[in-house]
Amino acid sequence: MLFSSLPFLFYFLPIVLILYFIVPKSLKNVVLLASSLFFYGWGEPKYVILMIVSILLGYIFGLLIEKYLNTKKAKVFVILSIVINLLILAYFKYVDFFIGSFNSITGLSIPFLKVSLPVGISFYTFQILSYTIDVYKNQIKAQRNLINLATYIAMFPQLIAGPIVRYADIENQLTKRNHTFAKISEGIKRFSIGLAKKVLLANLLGEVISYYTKTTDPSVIYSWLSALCYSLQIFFDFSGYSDMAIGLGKIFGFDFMENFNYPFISKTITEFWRRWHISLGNWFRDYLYIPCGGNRVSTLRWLINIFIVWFATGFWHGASYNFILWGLFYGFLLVIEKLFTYNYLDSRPLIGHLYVIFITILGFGLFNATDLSTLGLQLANMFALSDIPLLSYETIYYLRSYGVIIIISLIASTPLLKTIVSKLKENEKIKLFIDLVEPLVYVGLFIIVVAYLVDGSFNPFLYFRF
Amino acid sequence: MKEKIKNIYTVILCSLVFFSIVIANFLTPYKEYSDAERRYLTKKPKLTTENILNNSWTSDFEKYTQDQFFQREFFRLIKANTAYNIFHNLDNNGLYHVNSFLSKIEYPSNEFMWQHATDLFNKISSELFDERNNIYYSIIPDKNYYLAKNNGYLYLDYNKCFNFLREHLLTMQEIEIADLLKLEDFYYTDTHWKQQNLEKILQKFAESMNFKISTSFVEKSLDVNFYGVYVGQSALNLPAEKINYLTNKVIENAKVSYLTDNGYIQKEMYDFNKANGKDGYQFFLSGNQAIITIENKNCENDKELIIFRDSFGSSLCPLFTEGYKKITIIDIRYINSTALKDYISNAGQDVLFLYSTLLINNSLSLK
Repeated sequence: MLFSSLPFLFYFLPIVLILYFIVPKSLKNVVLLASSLFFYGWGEPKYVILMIVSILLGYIFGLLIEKYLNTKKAKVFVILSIVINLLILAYFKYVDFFIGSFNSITGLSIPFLKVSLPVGISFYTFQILSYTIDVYKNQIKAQRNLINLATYIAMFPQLIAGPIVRYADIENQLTKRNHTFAKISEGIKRFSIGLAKKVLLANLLGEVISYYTKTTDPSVIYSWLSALCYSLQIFFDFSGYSDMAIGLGKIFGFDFMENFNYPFISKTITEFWRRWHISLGNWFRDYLYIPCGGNRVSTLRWLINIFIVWFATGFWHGASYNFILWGLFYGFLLVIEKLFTYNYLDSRPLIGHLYVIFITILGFGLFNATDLSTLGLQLANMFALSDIPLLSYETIYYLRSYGVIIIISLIASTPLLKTIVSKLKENEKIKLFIDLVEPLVYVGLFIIVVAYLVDGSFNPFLYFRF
Repeated sequence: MKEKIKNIYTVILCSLVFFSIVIANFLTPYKEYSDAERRYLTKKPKLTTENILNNSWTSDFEKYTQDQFFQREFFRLIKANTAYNIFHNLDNNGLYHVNSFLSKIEYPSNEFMWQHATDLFNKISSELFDERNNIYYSIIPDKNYYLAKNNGYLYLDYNKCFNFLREHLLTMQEIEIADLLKLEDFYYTDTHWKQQNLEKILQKFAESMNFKISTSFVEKSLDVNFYGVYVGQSALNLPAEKINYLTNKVIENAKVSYLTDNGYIQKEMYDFNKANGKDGYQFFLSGNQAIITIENKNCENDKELIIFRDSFGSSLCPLFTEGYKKITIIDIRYINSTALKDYISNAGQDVLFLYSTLLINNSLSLK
């Protein structure tokens, strides 16, 4: 089920909210868990069983690891937990990729298994892994209450596209959490903003990309326009989802970690990745990079560690070579920055910003490429290496038609508006006015979003495929 | 404002709006048909184990919630106004308006469709007719031909389309009418042209096909409000138009027959019941019909005409009545062309393929 769908907004959510707030505290997690499983099963009922099996494995391994903590058995159980979870992920996400690669190398033609990807498997598998590893590291206590652990893993606000919530971060909130007007108000605000980002910006930017992919009137500027729109679309799509997840979490009394912090204002790629999909970056840092030795090793080993992490980051995003190349592309850039250019870029904001925007647009071109020939054609178009004009009639049309949305998107991808509002709020009278108007803006945004949903349009969440 | 009060105000206001829509949506009665969009709305899907497991129930339910939403037309109006006036999109779902004219972008050019159409026309021509027949074709440029390019909207490559047809319909004689029409010959809110403006087109056909029209027409007006097909699609509040029509003694005395499942039945040239219906343009020849015959017993010659046409033909074909003893009007969207041998036989008739660019560029419905 999509957050940005009418069944979610006007059937699922109100029923869950009512049930959640009328049941006693002791049953709130039961309501959350039951609704989460229903939410997950909405699109793919058969994979609810897979999720329950994953939860049970996480639960049992957590208890076993704790029971045998500081013994070899604990190590065996944590390795087993990691291997089993990764095998599940490998089978459901990567098996056909492996078969295809094996066929290419050997010339065989082993038939594909055509396994459909369970939605959100990459996210909840990583949550389970972090849980069992943290128990093994004795950083958290194993959860004895199966309902509570299942609620953590399956909680619908962040189940499908993150943020990847650490058990340690919400361990206490699973049993003791506050439901205050402040938190609910903040939750409503974040949810409304996220929904608007998704429906009013990401979806509309996606329309430009879909026109470009079908165009019979290409141009160099059109290819840059499409690449820019894709970068913005994926940002608003994913950060919009994270906002909605964080907002819903707050309404239900949880504090999930922030997942985005205006990544497009970065001056270096290093900074970009501190601001983009923060929960994934942290996960790989804590559970892969540092266990590999991090930077406290020889230079060669350190470089290898970086490439391992970025290979994994790319591969996590999808079972395809373009994602691996995308990850390694960033790994390479990060190594160059760490060795040579970081200080230079960091001290020259204009050059740094332009560099990050340029790299990001190219990077997402690689991310979006279905195959290398498509990528080659896209790059040839962008750099005027193919036989297309600089500008075309269709390009002008879509620039005119989507110009306002692109400008709004560019502004919304920076903290400009937030800064202006904060400055204005320093004046008491203006603050009062803003306080009065702000909720009306959320209501207005919500009604416009509903209008777009009722009218029916392009609506898939990009990050659901990961 | 104190933070606490602001938070309470935010929660109460947002919850009130949200739950009001939720409740109103639950209470909204089921609606079967959308007059505005001229389509049946999705029904609530039946819950079965099979459609739950194959995910069809959830996708059908999503469509149902979209179609049966509380104040659906009002929300569509908000969306249209946001698109045009806030985001300044040039079109909304392909619909654009310029100086009261509402139209839908027809883009891009689709050569595959052109090929399909010309292949089919040539096949029909070679299988049903021979050298005894004079075979003509005429392409009606849609409204965008006169509206889109001059106002910066996307448009079909009309010249390329016309040239393609010339190169592929070599056995037919072209009757060019694009230069005779102008934007004002089309309804403001509908796809179609106005019958009362078509006398110049009729004269062109008469000259090219060598038939005579000597009786003048009387223009009459229907006392109904006509909302073109784009009004509902656009969700905008737009004024109604009037349908005018041309008639004379020849048209009034003609015998008009429609092919039905029970054979031919006799009806009127102009269907006054349909003028009040969901699509007022169906007033002309009752709209979508597979085969219609118009017989003019008082015709001064024995010439017959077979017209293959789309909906644009509905308003033009009645004007041909005086020129022929019998006119057979065929719409191969509603009858497969392979079945035509059962209904027409070659007696040296004139043959006219009369299609709009809209259909040529979306010709898969031609069978």
